[in-house]
Amino acid sequence: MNEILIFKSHQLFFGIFTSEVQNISSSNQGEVIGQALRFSSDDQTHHRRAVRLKGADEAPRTYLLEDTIGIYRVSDIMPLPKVISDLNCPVMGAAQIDDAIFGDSLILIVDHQKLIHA
Amino acid sequence: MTTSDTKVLPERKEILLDEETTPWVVFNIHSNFFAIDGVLVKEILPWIKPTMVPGLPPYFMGIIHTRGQLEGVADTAKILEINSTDPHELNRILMIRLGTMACGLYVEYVHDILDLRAGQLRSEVHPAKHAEFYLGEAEWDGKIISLLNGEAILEFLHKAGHE
Repeated sequence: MNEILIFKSHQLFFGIFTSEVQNISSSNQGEVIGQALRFSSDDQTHHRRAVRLKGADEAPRTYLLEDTIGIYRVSDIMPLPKVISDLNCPVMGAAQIDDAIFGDSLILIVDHQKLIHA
Repeated sequence: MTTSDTKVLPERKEILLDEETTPWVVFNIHSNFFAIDGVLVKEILPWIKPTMVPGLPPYFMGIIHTRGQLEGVADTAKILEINSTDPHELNRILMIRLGTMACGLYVEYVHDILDLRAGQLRSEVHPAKHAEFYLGEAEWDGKIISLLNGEAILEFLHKAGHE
């Protein structure tokens, strides 16, 4: 069972493994997650949480999340199809959670290493 | 069995297959009609709105969840650089697969499965762009349809990650 911190960015749900999170604060210092995920633009006024991610061989990085949903447990994370995973996007897979908040939406699991090296 | 139950079978006719036929899936995008080799088409899915994944080239629409796994979906119109229409629920996703390469292709309407003999294919085709994605032309329902090279499209999509 994996525990993920879910947030919303650009109308999409994203999850980060809580095992990679060092702390969550209300700081306004850090990199806007939407930009780190390679969306074209971000509205700075919506940021609510700063998430500091552990770095294995790098210094920890702090990302500003726009809309934090909560922490959920997921049992099955589906890998991206090869045609997409070859593209080096900062997502490593997706999950579905049986909760009215998400409906049929997929939760995209952020690939922490690709986020750092983006 | 009584004589009244006895049925006379129609005269048996011998069907001569002088040339092998290949199934082609006929579809349209806007006012353009296309067909793709049916051997590559593993499934024709109803329209499912793909979940966009950040960082993808513009011709990818995102991923869908089908039968317990994720599949990529690309916009055929954007690959061919032709006009398209906004997706709606009657549109389709053609799941095409060749070896380890697989991807969904978003198309507008699927019209027919057409059996074509080699002699019915015309090699001339004059697309404005991306000639490598076309194999030729054929006639269907009084229209000229472009035959797409599904293998070349799959290779293009899979090479996108290695450029």
